[in-house]
Amino acid sequence: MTRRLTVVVLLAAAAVAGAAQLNINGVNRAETWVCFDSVYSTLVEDKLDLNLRYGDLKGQVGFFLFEPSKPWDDVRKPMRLLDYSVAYSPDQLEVLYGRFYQDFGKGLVLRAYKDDDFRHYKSLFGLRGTARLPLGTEVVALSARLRDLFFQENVYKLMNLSDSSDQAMGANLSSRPLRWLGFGGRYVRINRDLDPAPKAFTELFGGDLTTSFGPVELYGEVARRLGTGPGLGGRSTGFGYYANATLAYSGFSVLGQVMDYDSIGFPTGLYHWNDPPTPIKSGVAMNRGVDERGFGFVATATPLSALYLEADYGRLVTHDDTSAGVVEWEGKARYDLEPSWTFEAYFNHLVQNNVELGTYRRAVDKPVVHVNHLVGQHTFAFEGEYAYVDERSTHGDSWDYHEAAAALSYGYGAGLLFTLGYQYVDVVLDKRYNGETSWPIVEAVWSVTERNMLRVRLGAERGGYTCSGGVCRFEAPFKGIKVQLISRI
Amino acid sequence: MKLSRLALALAVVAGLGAALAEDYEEAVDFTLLDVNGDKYTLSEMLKRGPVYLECWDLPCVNCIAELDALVPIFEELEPYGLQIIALSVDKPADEAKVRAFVAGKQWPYVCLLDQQQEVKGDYGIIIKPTAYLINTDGEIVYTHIGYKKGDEERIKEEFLRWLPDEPIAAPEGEAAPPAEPEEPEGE
Repeated sequence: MTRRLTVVVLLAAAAVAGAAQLNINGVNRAETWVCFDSVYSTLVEDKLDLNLRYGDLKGQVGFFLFEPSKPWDDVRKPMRLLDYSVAYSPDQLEVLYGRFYQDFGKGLVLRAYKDDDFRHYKSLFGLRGTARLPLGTEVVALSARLRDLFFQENVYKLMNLSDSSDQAMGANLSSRPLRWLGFGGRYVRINRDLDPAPKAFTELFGGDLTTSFGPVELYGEVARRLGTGPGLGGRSTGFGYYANATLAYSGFSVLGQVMDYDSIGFPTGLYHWNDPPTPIKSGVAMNRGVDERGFGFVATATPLSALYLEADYGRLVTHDDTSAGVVEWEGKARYDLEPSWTFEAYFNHLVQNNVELGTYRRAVDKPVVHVNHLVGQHTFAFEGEYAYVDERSTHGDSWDYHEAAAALSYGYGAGLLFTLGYQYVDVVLDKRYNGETSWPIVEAVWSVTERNMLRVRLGAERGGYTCSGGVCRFEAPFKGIKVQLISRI
Repeated sequence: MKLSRLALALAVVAGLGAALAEDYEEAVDFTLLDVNGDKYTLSEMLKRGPVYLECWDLPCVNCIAELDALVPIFEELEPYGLQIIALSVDKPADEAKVRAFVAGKQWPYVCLLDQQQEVKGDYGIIIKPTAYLINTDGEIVYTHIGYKKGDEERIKEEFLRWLPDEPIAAPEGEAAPPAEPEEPEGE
């Protein structure tokens, strides 16, 4: 009887397998660094992401390997992570178990995302249900734990290592029943090991409203935090809002943003469950979601078909400390001279007060030009950058210095690209660049096949303080060789 | 016992056969919102005609140049069923910028937001711009990586390979309707 049942099941499986198709694809990123220091320290990294689909079943498998040699950190911390998710996903519904990314609204209440370029993977692991309802409505409910994997100073770290057992449960409703009207509501409850009692959990909740008429669209979102102080207890609350207005005509658009975040970033410290937007173009944030308010504008225009203009302005300050803040503005022009030239120039002005640790003020004025010329299959490009930097430390020291960078590139078709680059600073800065003043580099990128790209980088990189979407890190200077192979599977 | 082994072998062969029978890679289906909040599903769009799926973001100059260059080709071939998806992989914080940029450009395409970069991951997109031409059977029949001026003529040749010789049927002799969101919204 059992044997017959087995036969029936296997024959049914064969029939189903013949009808449906297993689809597997993904990406593998393999990279190795060799540093030209006294011990030739090394770093090996591989990140494999596979997606599997079989009818209404979806699966994801991710393998991450990080093997640094000891000199990269005081203690060698290799990392091997195996991630997976399984989902049943017919048209109107999805139930997923495993690792996933999820935003609620603009991220004032919950934001778990990945940024491959910045090597930042803030993911959730748990159960998620999604219902896609009529009238442009979607409901998401989840119960999950957070993992914030971040690359800083040449080492991957779990930013929430001490809080990795914290748990969140939440739901999000988003709806756009009419073209001119949309709304959403969301709630997240976070239970932490630090909470002094079962009742001492933290709640983040909020809502949003969207309306549009003609060329104008308005969006507003609010968030509220109710909770207890970590460890000690006591009431702890926060409130924040983000709003933007967009005016867009053919060839012209303006975006205005305003925000005020007072203690909604949770928990305070190295990572947050939520990540609200910043108006600063270069991605700098003040005291992310915890103590910042600001505004920004972006205007774009295409007065001629070959001419593109853009102007950005953003400002962030803290609520009480007027000495802390960020101001950035940028003007950009791009012109296509037919048939084969493209010129781009922009000027960026960025002032950071009390943003970097130990730096009271850093002001940078930076003009950049970029020229691209195409002759048949051959592409020639030049990028030149100059920056005047005025920097003062919190101890009263000050530096005025000039930074310059230039890069020449040659490309053949879409398959080959060679770049020669050089960076220079005219003052020896032990604090910022380990006393180095010049950084030559050569890079080759070869698309071996449509599915495989090889990148080899040899030389030195200046490093420094860089940001993306409000998250910042210090990149350590580098001298050596980097080899990267990206494969589409 | 032998029968069950035979059935197991059949199952394996059937599965492998199904996986290997196709000449082209199958396109992964997805549902995303566009910049206006309307929902689009790839499989629904493919019922109307082939889809050219291009991945772009705001800093990608070549992506924008390609999408600009494809406008006249799209307007010429849209009556034949061609559809183009401009798949933005910009971050959620840049959504308003994307919306303003797209409105300023007045691209006639469906501009979808892949803010979590799930579709980008599903399609294994490494370089921007990368674009796929997906035929009405849901197969990726052409991949275009990078962009330089003049590439649009090569892309057009591929479009013509996969489009019908005559414009697709339209009511009362009018031009074929453009791709519509799944649930037309009220006004």
